[in-house]
Amino acid sequence: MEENEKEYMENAYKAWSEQTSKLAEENMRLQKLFVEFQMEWLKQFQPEEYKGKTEEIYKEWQDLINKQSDKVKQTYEEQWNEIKSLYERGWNMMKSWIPQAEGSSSIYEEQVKLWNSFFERIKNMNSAVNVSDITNTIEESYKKNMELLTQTYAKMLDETMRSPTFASLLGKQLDLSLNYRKNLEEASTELMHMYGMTTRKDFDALAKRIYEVSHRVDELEELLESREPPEKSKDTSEKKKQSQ
Amino acid sequence: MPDNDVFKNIQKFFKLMVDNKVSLEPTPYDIVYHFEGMKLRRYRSNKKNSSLGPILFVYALINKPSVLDLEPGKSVIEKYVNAGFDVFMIDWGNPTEVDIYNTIGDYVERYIRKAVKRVKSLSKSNKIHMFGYCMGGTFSTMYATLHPEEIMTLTVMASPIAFPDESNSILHVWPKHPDFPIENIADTYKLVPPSFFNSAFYLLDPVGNGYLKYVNLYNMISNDPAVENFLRMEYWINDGIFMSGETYKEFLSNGYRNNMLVKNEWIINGKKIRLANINMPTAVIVGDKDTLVDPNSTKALLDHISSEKKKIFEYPSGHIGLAVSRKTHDNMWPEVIKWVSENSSNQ
Repeated sequence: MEENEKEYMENAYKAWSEQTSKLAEENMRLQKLFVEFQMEWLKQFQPEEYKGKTEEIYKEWQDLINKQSDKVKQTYEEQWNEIKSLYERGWNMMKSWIPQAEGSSSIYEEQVKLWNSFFERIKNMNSAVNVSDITNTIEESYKKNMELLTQTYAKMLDETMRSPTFASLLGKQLDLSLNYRKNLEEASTELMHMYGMTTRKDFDALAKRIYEVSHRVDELEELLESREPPEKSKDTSEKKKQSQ
Repeated sequence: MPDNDVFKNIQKFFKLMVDNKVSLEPTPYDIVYHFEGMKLRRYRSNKKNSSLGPILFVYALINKPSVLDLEPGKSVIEKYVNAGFDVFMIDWGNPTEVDIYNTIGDYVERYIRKAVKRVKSLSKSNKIHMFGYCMGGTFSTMYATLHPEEIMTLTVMASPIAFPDESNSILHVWPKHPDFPIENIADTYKLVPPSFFNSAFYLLDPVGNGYLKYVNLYNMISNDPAVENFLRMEYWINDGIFMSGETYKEFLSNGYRNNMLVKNEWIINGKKIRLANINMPTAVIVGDKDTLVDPNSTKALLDHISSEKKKIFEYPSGHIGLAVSRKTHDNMWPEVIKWVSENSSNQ
């Protein structure tokens, strides 16, 4: 690798690394804010049976987040160092590979492996904050907190949904949107009829006729089924026999 | 907790979704009768025991009946076929513009009646077992009141029958409110779309349906059979059918709003539905965690019929879990099938 290229890469890594730790810190700050918001929200809406538990979980959560913050930084640093070395190896490999690309399948395979492991690292890097750090390391506290939140939220929603106020609101809202749809349909029917086009209204009228005809066919079928088999056919067959 | 290959598993999940390789309805069947949009299925079997008689499954007009035959080992249909029954099922198809005037009377007295007639003739039996799930249970109950002489046993699973004012179930509360525009919904849509029902079902448990379901999926992402099962359920949930506006109006207005079935006030095709006409052995199957249909709404059927043999199968399950959960298949279904077999008058 040329010296200026190496310097460029180093600077790029540095910038990325700084940016990522800023992001990690920002992520932690937002998580803290979110938890604080959740706690406030819980204090207002929590059902009786959860009272007292929230403070306890909140403290546990705060402690773990504070510890977590350093761990996240450390994870990022380790991950980025590995990525840097992988990328460097890849860069060197590429340089040596390009001139002798034809017929050099083993180098190509090595290259593929290298890039795969590079992308694997990138994926793990992303998962460091999104998956492992939240659900693995502070698993218990996180789980407790989420359970409490979802239970409270579900209970609150359920009570809201069952209330006559919500039923009335839902009904009125539905009514309004349906009336809007109805008016729109009527207006478009009028317009389309002006130009001799077929509309849903015409299909509805046709469906009504089909419905009525189908019922009449049913009635006729039942009438036929309820009738005795005609004697006439028996007579005819006997007459035929006689004539033979 | 998911393992380290979580991303690979998520990729696999999306691939499964895109490839659409998750299959439903493994039990083979033939279509033995068509009537307008309805099809009558007869399941293939070489284990038929003529002493048991035929059974007709009547499914709801919401979603498709595949939930009764979702996968091998967790299929209600398969269980009945293996027990020796001659199994038939009504597939309502997907109602279209020509079905917008279909009433409940049409479904009960035309479609089900024709299906029953065909089942009787194909199986050479004068009586049949009838099984109704959800709204199909309400239809089966209505049919059994009008033609009790044709029914050997009636099994009703998670079906809305009674709609008392004191019921706290969300689906009971909303339509009862005078501001809920039942007529406007039916008249404007004419064919009520599946998305309308799905939105209502979503609101029954927004946290469960919108959040916890996906948390559970995340936690089981590396468990292939569980993920496939999740996908099967998702396909089924999102593969809904339209319902004719007239049927929607009648069902919600006469049933949910005015509780007419248990009051013997519901009239279909000029005939009054009298629950006391049900005199055959009758069983109800309910899940005590059912949020869609209040279990008490189904159990109330037994208080209004004149049958001597009545049975309740109550299980800690939800509305769909009754048909698809491993636990119900291991513990409840063998009991239910045993009860139906014991009450086969062909024996």
